[in-house]
Amino acid sequence: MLEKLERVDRRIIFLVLALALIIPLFAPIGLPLTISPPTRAFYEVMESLPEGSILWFGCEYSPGASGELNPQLAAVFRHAMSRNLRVILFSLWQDGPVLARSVVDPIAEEMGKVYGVDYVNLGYKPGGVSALRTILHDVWAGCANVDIDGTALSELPLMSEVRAIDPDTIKAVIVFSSGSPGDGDYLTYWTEPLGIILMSGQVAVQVPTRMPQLQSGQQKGLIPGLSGAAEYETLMGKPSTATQLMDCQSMAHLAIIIFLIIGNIGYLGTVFGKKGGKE
Amino acid sequence: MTPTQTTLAAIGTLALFTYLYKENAIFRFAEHCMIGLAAAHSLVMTWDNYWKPTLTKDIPGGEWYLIIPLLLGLLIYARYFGKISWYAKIPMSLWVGYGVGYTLAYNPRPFLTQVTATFLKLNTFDNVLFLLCAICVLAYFLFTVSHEKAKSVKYMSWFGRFAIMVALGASFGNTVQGRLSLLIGRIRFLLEDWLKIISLG
Amino acid sequence: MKKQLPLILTAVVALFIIFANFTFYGTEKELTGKIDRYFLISQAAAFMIGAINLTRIHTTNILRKRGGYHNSIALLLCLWGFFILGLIQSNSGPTYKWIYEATIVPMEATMFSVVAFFIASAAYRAFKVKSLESAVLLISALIVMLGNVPIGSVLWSGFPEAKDWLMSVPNSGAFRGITIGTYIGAFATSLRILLGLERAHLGARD
Repeated sequence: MLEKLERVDRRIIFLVLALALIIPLFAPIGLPLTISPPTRAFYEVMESLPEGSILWFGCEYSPGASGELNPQLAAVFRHAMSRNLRVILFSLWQDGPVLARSVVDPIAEEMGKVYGVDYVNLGYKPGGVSALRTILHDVWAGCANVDIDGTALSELPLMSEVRAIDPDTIKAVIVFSSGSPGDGDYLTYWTEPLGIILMSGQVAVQVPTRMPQLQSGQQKGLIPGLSGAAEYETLMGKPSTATQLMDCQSMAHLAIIIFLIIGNIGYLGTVFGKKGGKE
Repeated sequence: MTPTQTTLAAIGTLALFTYLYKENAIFRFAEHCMIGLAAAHSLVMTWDNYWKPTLTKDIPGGEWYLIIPLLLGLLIYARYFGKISWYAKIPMSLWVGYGVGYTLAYNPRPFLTQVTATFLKLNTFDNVLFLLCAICVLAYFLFTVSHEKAKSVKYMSWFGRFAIMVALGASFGNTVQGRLSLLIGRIRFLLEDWLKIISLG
Repeated sequence: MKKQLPLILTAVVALFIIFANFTFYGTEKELTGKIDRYFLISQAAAFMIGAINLTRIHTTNILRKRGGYHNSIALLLCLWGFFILGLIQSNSGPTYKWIYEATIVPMEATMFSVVAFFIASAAYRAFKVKSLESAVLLISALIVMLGNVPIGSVLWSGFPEAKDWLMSVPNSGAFRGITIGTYIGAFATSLRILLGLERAHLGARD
């Protein structure tokens, strides 16, 4: 009997998982969130930055990771704008700036922020790590003197203050990272040698590997996956999309855990069944 | 996205989801189209960002010497021509040398930060456990010493294996969350953007 | 010549990069920035390698009418058709952007998302308590999973705290060991390449 629990068809598992994800979209539960220390540390650093500080946002991801990193970017950008911090968006991933634009432009418009004054999107710079090093000493030349739309950087007031990457100009580098090039490269070539604050928004898969950098102080804060985005929204007192989606996460996690338990009961049943048979 | 774009995106999404039932012709067709389009996109991005400015702006603008790295890079295609195929090793050796140089020049700093941050004050249980985990994991990967002969390495390696299991378990737990987030994103697209039967804002 | 030249070039370039980054001469002459630019341009020259290989494989499929060769036709049409469109319009052209947004973005995201189903299925099939190690792995995964989502704290209020501890102490310690090992491995491999002991990148099998 118990052995049968080990042989559930994978399509049944898929169906249950899909239902666990879909049902909460129609019937939200609204379970309360707990804030994790890395997210809180991130938020506190953002709160401590003086008004008018310039932040560098590395949007290092592709559409595959947008489900996790777009909500993070939305929450952090909204926070930065609400504190009158200024933001420069940039990407070493070809799809990063397009995805970032779809997130930040509506927020900026809603908050009455002006492109070129409060934020700038420098677009995609190919070449990975080499590109990072190229723009380190001369941001303008490294970006061919234009932003994502080809607008001359000389026409964007914010850029007149940003000629090179140094701690006096850039108060913090925040990387929304789903792989390489990503936060690890910013750490090696920018923040560690120059002593600039580094924080990151991570796809959940990468979070365990970044914990040593958090412990060593190489990263001052970290937003872990979609749950981190939801936590950040909670900290800001503005629950939004990520918070709503956490109900789906809860139900899907529960479904997977139940299947894990069923699988193990089935396995133990098989093991004890065989032992019983031998006796 | 326009309604037509949304519909096309939904068809592509559903076509790829059909794989969940079983491997099928619709999935394979969608998969091949996606690979073709993604590869082309990568080509176009490289063309627009490197070839075009180099050929139309930089070289005619006086930076004629950029022809040299361009030609050196082009040697990689020699691999398709039997007798001269070894020329492809020239750009490869330049690129690898470049990578090696930067690894040796820049990585020691973050590496040493990691090492120094390992030596915590052993005044709390957490700090002791942290140090133990770090050192024992290193011992687990220490292959130049026989684990059978050196008992201390053997026991440390044994403990290190459990520390790795904890770390892999944590990685699995986070991977579940990550992949589910992406799936939620797609389901949300189908229900909200395409079918318009939910609205999360 | 065929064997020595690539090895010498690798070593010379590596030493030059180190020299340029470690001396004022390199910084003052802005050598590092220039080298980066030359490197990027030379690497961009190789951009067709992937497309050529794809074309070779799929052209063979079509010519030999292997099973599913019509998919190969679709792939080649998408590859070269979209590339030519990109050459004509550039990546910011309206038709190009339209196709990109309607196909590549959603399909790439879907490909990654499908993994969620297989993770669930694989967890059910493979995540079995067969030994003490696998028990530790399972318990760690369960704590992190339940600590990551709100339902965990509903079941037991200690899950989020337990997860935070597990992530920042044993997990962080273990990954510290792995990170240090990775760095040492990278240095060792780099030195071996520099000294000509490692030749895999040049096609050597030893």
